[in-house]
Amino acid sequence: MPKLLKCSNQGVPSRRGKGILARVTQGNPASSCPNCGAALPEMLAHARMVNCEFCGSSVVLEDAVLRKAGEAGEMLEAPELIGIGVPVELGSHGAFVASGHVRYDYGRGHWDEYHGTLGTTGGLAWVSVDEGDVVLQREVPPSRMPQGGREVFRLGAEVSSNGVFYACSEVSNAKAIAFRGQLPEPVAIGDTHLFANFSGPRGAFLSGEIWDGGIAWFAGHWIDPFDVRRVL
Amino acid sequence: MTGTISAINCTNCGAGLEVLGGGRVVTQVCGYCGARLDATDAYAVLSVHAGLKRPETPFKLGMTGQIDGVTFTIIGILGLQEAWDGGVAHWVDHILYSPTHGYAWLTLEDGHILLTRKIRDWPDGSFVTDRDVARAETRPSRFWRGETYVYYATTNWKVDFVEGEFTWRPEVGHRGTSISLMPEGRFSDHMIAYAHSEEREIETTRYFPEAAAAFGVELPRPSKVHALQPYEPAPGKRFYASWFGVLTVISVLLAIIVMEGGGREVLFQGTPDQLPPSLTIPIAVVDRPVGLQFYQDLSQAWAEYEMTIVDPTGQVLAETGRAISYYSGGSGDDAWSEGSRYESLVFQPTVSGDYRLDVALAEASPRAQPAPLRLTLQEGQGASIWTWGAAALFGMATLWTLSSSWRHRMLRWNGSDWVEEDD
Amino acid sequence: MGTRIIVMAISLLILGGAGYASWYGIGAVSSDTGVGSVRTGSGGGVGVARVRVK
Repeated sequence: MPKLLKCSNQGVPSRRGKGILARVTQGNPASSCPNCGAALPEMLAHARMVNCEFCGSSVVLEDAVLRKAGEAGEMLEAPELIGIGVPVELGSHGAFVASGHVRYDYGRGHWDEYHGTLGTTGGLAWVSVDEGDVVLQREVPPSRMPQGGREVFRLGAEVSSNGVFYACSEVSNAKAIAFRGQLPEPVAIGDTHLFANFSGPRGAFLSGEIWDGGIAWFAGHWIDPFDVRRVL
Repeated sequence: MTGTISAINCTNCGAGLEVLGGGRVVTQVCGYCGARLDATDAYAVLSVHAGLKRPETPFKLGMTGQIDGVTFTIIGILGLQEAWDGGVAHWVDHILYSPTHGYAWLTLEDGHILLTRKIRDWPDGSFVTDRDVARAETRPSRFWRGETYVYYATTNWKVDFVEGEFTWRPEVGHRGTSISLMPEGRFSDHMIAYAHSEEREIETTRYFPEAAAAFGVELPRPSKVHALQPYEPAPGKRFYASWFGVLTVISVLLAIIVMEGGGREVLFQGTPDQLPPSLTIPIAVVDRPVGLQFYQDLSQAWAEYEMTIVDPTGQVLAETGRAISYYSGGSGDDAWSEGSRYESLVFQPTVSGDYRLDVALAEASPRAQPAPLRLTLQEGQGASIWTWGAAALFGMATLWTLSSSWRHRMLRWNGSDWVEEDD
Repeated sequence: MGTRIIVMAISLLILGGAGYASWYGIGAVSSDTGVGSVRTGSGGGVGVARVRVK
């Protein structure tokens, strides 16, 4: 009966930097905001973007130098299933702690993407939450990416990744409107990109994102929102 | 998840309408004028359903309630019906919304409440359609989350009322099919359904009477057992089962005592021509009947005896006769027999003392004359039929009580439209 | 609780009634016996003789 829900994932290196950043390097100590001078939280090893809680700037890391890339956008108060720094149990997948949060707009509403660590191994993952539709995904390495490129970004298109077959259930544009915390790569607030969602067997879920000169894929599973529980 | 808008005015009639749903809502139907508004296009009027008959439901738009600790709001109401040869069934779907947990359905059907949610981890196997059901020789089944679900029923529904917000475009007259499957286990309290209208969805439904308290409504009393209704033993089931069980045992014991009890005495044993002209029977107990049993080992023969019983005061208590005959033939499955080697005569003694019994062979077939005859007396002859009857009655009451969960399960599957085809 | 007592009372009455009727052989006495029972004719072969009970 009801619609298919839109979900997307972020996390492709240097795809929406729009020239703000040329190169990035690893590992950085706590620093201060290049815009207002306020102290920034200590940056995680994988982080390339952080928001300044004082002036609302989005700050990116470039050649071990922090630069203001723009605004972090307005994150309106809304009930959330997941919050930065709050561990949640994702069904049988283990505990997830979000360190970054991006909000995407689709006109009449928005959905949230959280980046963080999953389970005891601390692997990085994205969790998207859209009105009760929760998807946990990890980036697909290039060797296992579905074939076909832009051609498979159409409803009904079938792709396979890692031996699993998926059918395209949605193709749409996403516009990042706000972010908080720390992200593994820069996200340009206000920019729009094309994404496609593919459904597989037993709740398997694949997303593709495409931009000038690149494509990225994320694979994972649906999670019942009632299986998302705060770890006490 | 969004919603800076919290109220609009119906673009058809101007009535104020609350906006309760999330960003995925595409249609809002005005409860006052029946206008279907396009929530994605400035609430432009799509069409107007005039004169809709509101279905009976205690749930209203805007009501909130907790489901498994999550607050949901009723954002839409959908009246549905299914017509078949026997009549029309009506039920009401209430669309629920939570900003964090999304959409769900609360269904009110004959006073039963069901909670339905869409599932994403579809069972393996093809989407079950009514064609699959029609072609299947056994109930179609699917395996989901560790359980096997078997075909329960097909519902061909039609929308007859719409109000509120929806994530699709419902319309009166809109039709769809829903094929439900249920685990066969005794404790199953949920179904999965393959729903097919514009899109294909698979849903899971569970029995959810807690909704009445959660949303603060009073529900009508259901008239039938619902397919998903869990079995609840009636209060006192254990007591009644034990009580009737004990009474059954007592009745059987009483019946055996009555049958076996009383003093038995062989009055005569021999061929009929050895019968003395008169026998004396001393009887002490007079408040219970006395039985006389005739047994003659007859085969393809008959014999008729005349007898007179006189009490100690000289009153005649019986002046009558008894016939014994036994014929048989055939063999194996065709074997037959007719008559009985036993006969009896039961009389009520009047006073204690010596009774006189005169028995004589009146007539007999030639083969009967040398056949041994035995005459037995039973003082205190009862009628065990009464206690056997009581045992049967109490036994049935025990079984009825003990079978309540089985009967409940039968009633749950009663709603299934599966017909086993005889070949 | 009231229902249970009523059910118990009724079932005990049934048990008592059945026990009494069985013990005293209600219905067991042959119809051709009784004080002053007189034979009214022969059955003429197989069967119970016809009698008249005063």
